[in-house]
Amino acid sequence: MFLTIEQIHDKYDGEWVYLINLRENDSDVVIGGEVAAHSESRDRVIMEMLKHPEHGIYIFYAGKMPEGVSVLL
Amino acid sequence: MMTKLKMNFLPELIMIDVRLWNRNINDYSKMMITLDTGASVTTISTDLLNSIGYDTSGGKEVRIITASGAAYVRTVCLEKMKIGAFEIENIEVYSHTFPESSFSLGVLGLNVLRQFDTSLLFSKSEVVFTK
Repeated sequence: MFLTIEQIHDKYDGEWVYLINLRENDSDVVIGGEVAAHSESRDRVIMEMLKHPEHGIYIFYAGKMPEGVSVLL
Repeated sequence: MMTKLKMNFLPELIMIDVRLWNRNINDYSKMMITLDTGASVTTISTDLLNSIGYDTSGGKEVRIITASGAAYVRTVCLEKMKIGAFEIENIEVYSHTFPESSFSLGVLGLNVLRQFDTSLLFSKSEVVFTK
């Protein structure tokens, strides 16, 4: 089922998401796709991706960072 | 020439879409990556690079200094990357297993960014690359 990026962030807030069958707009920005895997565990989602590399590598963390957490890369 | 990309701020990092050359399918694969001006070199998850056909075991070993200390990574020559309308070839990237707590699987660093005049338009949620 196709979901927009906004819908994915809302529905899977706090989870890693593996998106396939991407749909892009005229500016080459991903606007949505099908969620092939999702989990609070990133490594679990990566494992799913590694099983089906033909579907691409579009994995991201959905939603906001947990409260009290910040990132310094 | 100019290209504009939308930036997302979830999760509170500058995230943009780029395309990496996938050797397995001889085509590009889309990736969401963190734009990081604090990174000297573009660094991509080892699992993602392996998944698109790059050998991450044979490159030069490099010691990197991160906010949480030092780590060792390997260099990989990424055949091509596409950022909007721009295509860049033979980019040295680092292959690294990011901590899960970093919320990202890759950073677009200065070795790519400084090939452009890069503008961050936060009011429009856009990154503009100009050459």
